[in-house]
Amino acid sequence: MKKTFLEIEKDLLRGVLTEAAVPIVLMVMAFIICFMLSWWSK
Amino acid sequence: MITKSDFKLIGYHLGRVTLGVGLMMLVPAFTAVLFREWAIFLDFITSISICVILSHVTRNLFYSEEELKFKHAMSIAAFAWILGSMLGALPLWLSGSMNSYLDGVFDAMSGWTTCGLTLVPDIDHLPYSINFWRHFMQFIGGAGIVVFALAVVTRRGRGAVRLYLAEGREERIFPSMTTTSRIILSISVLYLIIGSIIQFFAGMYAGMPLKYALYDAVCYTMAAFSTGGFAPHSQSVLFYHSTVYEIVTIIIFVIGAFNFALHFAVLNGNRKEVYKNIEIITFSTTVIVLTIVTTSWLLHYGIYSDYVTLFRKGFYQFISGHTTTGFSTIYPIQMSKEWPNLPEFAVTIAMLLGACACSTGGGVKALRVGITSKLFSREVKKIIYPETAVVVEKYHHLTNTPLRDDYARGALLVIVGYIILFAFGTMITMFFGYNAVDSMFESASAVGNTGLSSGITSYTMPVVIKVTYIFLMWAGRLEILSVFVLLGVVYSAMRRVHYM
Repeated sequence: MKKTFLEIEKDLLRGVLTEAAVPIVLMVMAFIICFMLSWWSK
Repeated sequence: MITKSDFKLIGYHLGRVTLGVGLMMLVPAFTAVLFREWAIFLDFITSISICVILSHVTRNLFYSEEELKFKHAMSIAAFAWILGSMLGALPLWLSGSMNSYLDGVFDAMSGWTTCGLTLVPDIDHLPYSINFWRHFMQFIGGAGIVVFALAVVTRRGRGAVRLYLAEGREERIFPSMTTTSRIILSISVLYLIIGSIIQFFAGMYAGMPLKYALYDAVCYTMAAFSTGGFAPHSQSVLFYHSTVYEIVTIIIFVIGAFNFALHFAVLNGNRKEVYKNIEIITFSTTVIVLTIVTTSWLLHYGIYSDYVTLFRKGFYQFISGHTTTGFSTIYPIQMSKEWPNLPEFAVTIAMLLGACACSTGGGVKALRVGITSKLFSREVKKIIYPETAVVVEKYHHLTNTPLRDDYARGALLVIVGYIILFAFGTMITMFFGYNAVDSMFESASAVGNTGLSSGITSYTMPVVIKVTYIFLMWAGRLEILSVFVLLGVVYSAMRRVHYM
């Protein structure tokens, strides 16, 4: 099935956001690790 | 056995690559016009002329219409990166930005291979167009010189497939090579546009004037998406002292570390692939485990006492190393003198593990690490389970794939190759009196095409180390096998000369 221009654009935008979610999740996890370690060390 | 017609074929295709490099220089030449750097513009025109003349002579001298075989493709890919570096160094050297032509070749190799180590004595005072050329080399190098040549100047046909595979890429997004290379370039340009817009606003937020915010945004995005690591400022990302800029660069270079086939699947609506893919799972696991090691040790030694600094300095260097980018928020000398050995070694391991296969990144690659861990799991299960049991390991990479012995052997071969290169680089560096941990760090940075430095890489370092790192960057980018094929071709050529 051929996609319309709007559907392609929607897929692109959603795809970019999905990919961006990976580094954001990793950063949040790393931030939590830093916070927990710093909290435990005090 | 290599025949005369083989050499002609290799020479003919290298002539095409030479033309491709010359065409690429038109972009920084235009930048020189924009910034009114007329002397540099002439340097680019001279370099383009050399490329065009050399390409014309080579293509006429070695004209061939034979179909490329895999040995030719391997040799062309291996030679193309050396040739590209020698030609790419011309404007750097002619502009007087480098101390010697060798330093220019080092920076050009570092650019094409998306490494990021640099021998520029004064980055802050480089002409804008020269600095743009360094970043542009990384952007094109991330996609692949040969990929670029395929998309623009190389003929279609089966030979194109072999060239693509020889350049250290294992996956075809489309059966047609021209379509695959155009898709890779389209994805790169898409992220260049999105990244530049976001970086531009981040630069404006950090207080940059409009013109320079735009210039820096494009340069940083090219270097970030290609996991390159060159920066228009000697202090790299530290220059901005901006958390926003740091977060934005992390997002772009982590996305840049993803497999192009994964990009294509996700951008076409298959978003679940991100959560199932073995590469993303392996990459995320190693990131979390090594983040704990790095940050806990930095905290234990009181290097960074609060969690925000720990994140901005500790995690940033680590994730920059793991994605083989090379941006830093500390000075190189701090890595050597301030950081304890364990976190420095953890970043070394991260640089060797590297990004995803068929991405802009370097290192062993998450796919091979994942396959190797599946292999270990299968072998352990074989011992534990009854002898009659049939053990099948599967992994998900675009499709569910059973673990095959030839894949596992290929992955192990590359891992062993990387370890040999890493050990070779470390020993050469240590020979000149540098300590073991710093030598390992710098060698891993070169072979993994990362660009983080412990302070060893500078224009004052011994020539032998410069040549060694050029070799490591080249061999690391080509994933070793092409290098051995090239050595075989050279050996064969020497034998021919000997028996003549």
